[in-house]
Amino acid sequence: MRRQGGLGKNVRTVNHRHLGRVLAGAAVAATATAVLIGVTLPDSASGGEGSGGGPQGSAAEQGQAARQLPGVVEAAPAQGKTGKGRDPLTDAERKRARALTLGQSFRESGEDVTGGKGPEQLSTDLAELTPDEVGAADPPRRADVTYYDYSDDTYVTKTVDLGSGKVERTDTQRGVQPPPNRDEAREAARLLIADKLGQELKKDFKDATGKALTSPDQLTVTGFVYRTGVDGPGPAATRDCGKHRCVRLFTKVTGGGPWIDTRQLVIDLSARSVARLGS
Amino acid sequence: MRERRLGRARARFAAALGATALVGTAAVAAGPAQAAPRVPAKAPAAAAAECSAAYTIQETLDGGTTWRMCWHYESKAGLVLDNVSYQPKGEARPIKVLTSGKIGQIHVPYDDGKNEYDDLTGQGFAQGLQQLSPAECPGGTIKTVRVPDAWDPDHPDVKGLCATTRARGHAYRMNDGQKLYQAQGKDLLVYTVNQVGWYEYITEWRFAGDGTMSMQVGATGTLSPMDYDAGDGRGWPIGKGAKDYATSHAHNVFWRLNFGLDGSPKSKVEQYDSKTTATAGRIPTTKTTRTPVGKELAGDAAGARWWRVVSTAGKNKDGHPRSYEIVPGHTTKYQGRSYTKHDVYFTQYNKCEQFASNNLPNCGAGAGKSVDKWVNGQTLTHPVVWVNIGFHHIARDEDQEPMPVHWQGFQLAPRDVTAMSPLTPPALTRHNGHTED
Repeated sequence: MRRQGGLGKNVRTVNHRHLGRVLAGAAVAATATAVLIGVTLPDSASGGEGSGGGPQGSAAEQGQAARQLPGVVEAAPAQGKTGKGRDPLTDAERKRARALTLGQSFRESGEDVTGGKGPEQLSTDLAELTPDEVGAADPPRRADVTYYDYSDDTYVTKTVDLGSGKVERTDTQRGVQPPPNRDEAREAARLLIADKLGQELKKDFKDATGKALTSPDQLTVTGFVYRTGVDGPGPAATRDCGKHRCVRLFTKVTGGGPWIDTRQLVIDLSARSVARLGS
Repeated sequence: MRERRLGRARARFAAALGATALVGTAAVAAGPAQAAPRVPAKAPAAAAAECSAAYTIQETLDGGTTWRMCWHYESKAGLVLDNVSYQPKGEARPIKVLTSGKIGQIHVPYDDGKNEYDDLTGQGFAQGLQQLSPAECPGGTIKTVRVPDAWDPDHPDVKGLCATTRARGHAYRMNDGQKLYQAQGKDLLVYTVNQVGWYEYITEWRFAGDGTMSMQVGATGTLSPMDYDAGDGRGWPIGKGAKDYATSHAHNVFWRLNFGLDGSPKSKVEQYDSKTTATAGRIPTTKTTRTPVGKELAGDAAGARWWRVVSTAGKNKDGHPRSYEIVPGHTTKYQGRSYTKHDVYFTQYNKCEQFASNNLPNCGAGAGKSVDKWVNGQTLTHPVVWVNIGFHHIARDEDQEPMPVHWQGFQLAPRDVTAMSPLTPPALTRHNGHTED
């Protein structure tokens, strides 16, 4: 029988899997050891290149593998104001791209996930070059900036030329739902906790931690999109999902706690409501 | 005589090894100095890969082959490699292969029909970039990636891109009766790890000295802790007895390759099919036919079928047009969705076509949201290649825990990019075509 009648059972199922904590701890330990080895080894040991060839080469290979040093960590490169060629967008370029694409009117008319003024800002990416621009001496650097406007449920992509500052294209789609950002996932968790369908989550949380769940900060959530039609017709309460911005959550107790299965719960961020999937 | 020649070859081999270096290490901040990969005294003029040094990955491998590329990171697709070029020993300039390469989708349907994930466009694949431990990038450099619009705005930088070299065993072996020629190859390896839910995907790009590129995605992490179902016959029992059934599922990975062979966006695509005829009393014969792919195609792999992308802008020193052959790895083709029903798609370049399913940019009304819909008869002059490799994961006891990595991927193999293998030992460079010593 599928364990979806009560979320409480799921907690017990997964309670022993303190994955986050165990894995993170191991990674930290490995890092520390690696650095230590790196410091102690003499310079000559970092050569590590065998001469190849023959059985001796194979032995050398083994020796080499054993003394190959841990990777060297490069800090984030110093950023100029603008990037060169296909460099990632600099912080300054991102900021400029957002300012140029948002504009006064969009800032006034748009609505974000909490109902605040201005659309929900989702992503800022370096735009792909068209074939005729590839190989040009000084190809344009453009940014694709995307927004979700909760005032009319539209996914808006604006493309801006970072050289000229011109917004070259504004594209508005309905029914297209990109992955939720952190604010949206957090808002979804907040709505869920406040909803009567959040009772089971709160009970599971209490079972796992002995504490009451009152804030999304007590959970580590990542959101994923739920679309009716593609993801199944679902109950009547989720029929607008797809047109509306709906998410489900992967939920873990913050600080290396257990997973709590909340995937049967769909949070409609546009309608600010919660529905339950499944029989 | 031959002894000495081989000796020289060895010396050169060693010199090439010595030159091995990853550039872009100017900003080394953490880690002991002696562990730093050596940086060449001066970068060759041809090294300009159309981006800053900090975003260039360059490696000269055994045998003198240099690979160069730029990298950036996208908010959904994650790592993007730009301007990937290959410069074998003896070539004056880098030979461009890809304008860009990236993952085009990871589609994960569960067998019980309860969940279906599109990891790039519905989940947080790119946001899930994992910090790497120096221990998992031995001999290499871990670059810091600024994740666009990071979920944690206080920590947008993730030490998450490893560039290193990795042994791959024999590059070749030949014993001509007098001498043994053999070399142990090393690949440039570039990878990230992205976590989605409880899964972790290792996305590897390997570049070999002989011009071969190998792309693969390895899935590890842990099995979905919430998908244990004993009732519906869609899983495999992995706990004691027959109680905890891990729900089977598929990972259908798409790669999007924007070709730019010899620096030109214009390339041709060809399909080859071999047919074997067995006649009683005779040794079977096989005939191979070439079919130019002039229009967009949704291709199905077959036992004796392959494709190649052919340059219109460059030939090798034998006068043969350069090309790259698509060599798919093992795949389990998922029949559940229109876009997973074919193994490779050749589409005419269109900027809005970015994801194999649930495409986010707008290609216009009626254009469709998946790669199969974009194969609609357009003439193919600038092909974008979408490779679909599926893995049906029926979990086993050994998959916990952490789950051993299971891999899926394909290769791009050079076909006539150079007149001979660039790894040919100096003593054998005359052996091009019919030779009699």
